[in-house]
Amino acid sequence: MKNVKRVIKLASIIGMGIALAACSSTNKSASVENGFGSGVSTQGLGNNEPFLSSSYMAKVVGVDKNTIYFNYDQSMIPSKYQSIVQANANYLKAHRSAKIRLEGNTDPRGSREYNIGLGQRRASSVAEQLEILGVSPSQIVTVSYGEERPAILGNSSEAYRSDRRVDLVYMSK
Amino acid sequence: MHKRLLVATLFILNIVYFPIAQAALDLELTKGVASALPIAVVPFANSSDSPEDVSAVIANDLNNSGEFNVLPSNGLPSPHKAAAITAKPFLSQNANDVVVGTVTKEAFGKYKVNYSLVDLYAKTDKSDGVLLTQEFTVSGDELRQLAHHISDQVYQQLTGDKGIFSTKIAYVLVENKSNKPTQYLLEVSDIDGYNAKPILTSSQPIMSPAWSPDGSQIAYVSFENYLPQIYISNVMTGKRDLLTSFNGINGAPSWSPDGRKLAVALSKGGNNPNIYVYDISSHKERQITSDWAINTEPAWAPNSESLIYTSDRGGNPQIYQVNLKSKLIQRVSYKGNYNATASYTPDGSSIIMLHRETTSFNIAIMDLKTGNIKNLTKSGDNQSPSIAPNGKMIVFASEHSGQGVLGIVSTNGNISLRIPDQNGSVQAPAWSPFLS
Repeated sequence: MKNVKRVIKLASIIGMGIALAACSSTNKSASVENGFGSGVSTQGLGNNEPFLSSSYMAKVVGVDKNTIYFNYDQSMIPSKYQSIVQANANYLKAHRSAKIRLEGNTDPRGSREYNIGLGQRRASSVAEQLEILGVSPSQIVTVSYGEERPAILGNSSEAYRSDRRVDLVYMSK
Repeated sequence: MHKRLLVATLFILNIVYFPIAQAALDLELTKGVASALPIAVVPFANSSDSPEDVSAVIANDLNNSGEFNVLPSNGLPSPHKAAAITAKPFLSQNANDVVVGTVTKEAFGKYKVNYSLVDLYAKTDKSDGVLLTQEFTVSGDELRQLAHHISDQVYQQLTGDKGIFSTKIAYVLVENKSNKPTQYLLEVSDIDGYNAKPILTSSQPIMSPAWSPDGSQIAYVSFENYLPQIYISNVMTGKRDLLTSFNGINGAPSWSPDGRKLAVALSKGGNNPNIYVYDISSHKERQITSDWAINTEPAWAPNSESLIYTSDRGGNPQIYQVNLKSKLIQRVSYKGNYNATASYTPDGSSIIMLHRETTSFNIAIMDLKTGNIKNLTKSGDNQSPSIAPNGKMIVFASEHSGQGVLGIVSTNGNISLRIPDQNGSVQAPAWSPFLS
């Protein structure tokens, strides 16, 4: 029994070592793996996303806030946000080395997996608009977080409105 | 003769070295049932320093299963051995069966646990009515797991179905503390919420945990590199492998019944996800659906010949079935304006799913022969149903006082439980297969 215990302990320590090594070598990873048998709780490593400050880039691009909001279950860009798309298109065309990440999000109702699809549709619809306006596809990355990163926690219709969005995030300027 | 004597010593590897954890989750019974089997669980003769109240855990398990009505023990005699049971006082309380037992301290921190299950109606002058008698020797931190094991034995003896008290639930815990960045934890706990252990801790979202059919691995989606990727973690060692990192959506992994493939949703740089089957050893994928809709949440038919999945190809999310050979697609769900997250019951006769008729999202079960849909929850924001391996219970994500909590409901709709968590919001539960 004792020996079995030791083997498990050893295995989990080795596992942890590999995990930590992997994290430091990529420098991007923000997670720590942890065996069920190890019984150890660990904190994630770091929380700073490697992207440019969104308020700073909004100022550079010339908009109040680099976020586009959507209607329920819709991925069409409401016309009042067309100026945001235009301002970013202008900036990206003038700065060919700039790269933008379009992060699609949904409100928390319904299926998490379906919401990933819906968030992707929203991000893709902004990407298409940028491309129509002359931005090179190579400057654009899309990602959907679905309902996993709500803007506001809670169940009010106001929280839902803020959740249904595409954040325009710059990876380089 | 009913009597069956089993003497066993329990060595369950995966619980050998856990500390006794504080219960992160507490089970609350929100709805009971009158038609359950009445049973008495007499408080065991307990060694005073026993770290676990074994008979209380058994009583709780049986009561929460919806199949039993555990009678209150006050007012009833408290025998600790089958031979000491007098049927009359138990029968007068309408008990059919009685569980008795003892927990005795042994040398080297071990505990000896004896129990018997007695059928009061089989107890005569000629028969002691004993259906089960077992003896175990375990360490203190194995007592709770042993209690679940005894519950499984009693449950199976009396209902004919395999018990699920020793199975586990994987889920994502989101910690939103005011002065700290959000933390996402992939955790595994007992089904009563005890023994919660993190498999992975991340500052970025974790989604879609799915157990391999043998219970040794969990596939899930992690955003740790700011993009969704599918990983597989070994539950025991924590060692993991990156499985898919295609451009765009890598989501909704679902293990094939033989454990060799995963059905997944991939967008491959396009505007929408389609269903693929990914071979784990050859790392090759085969495209199954090819259209412009959101196609996601594949789940395997028990015979492995087809998948059911969610698609909004008809305008709103509905359940479809696709044959893996012919790739022929059939619509499965018609009632309701939103059906999603479907999976088969173990016997393949029904599917469970997220179902919306008008505005609220409920967990529902649909009979595949008749097409009848029965809601198992009443109004609210419910999500992510996952069925127990014996097909009797469904765990799902729900909302309670602004927090994500787990709910459990029986597939016959008779019982409903809530597992609140003090540490944050709980979401995306996945019920493990049988683990032994």
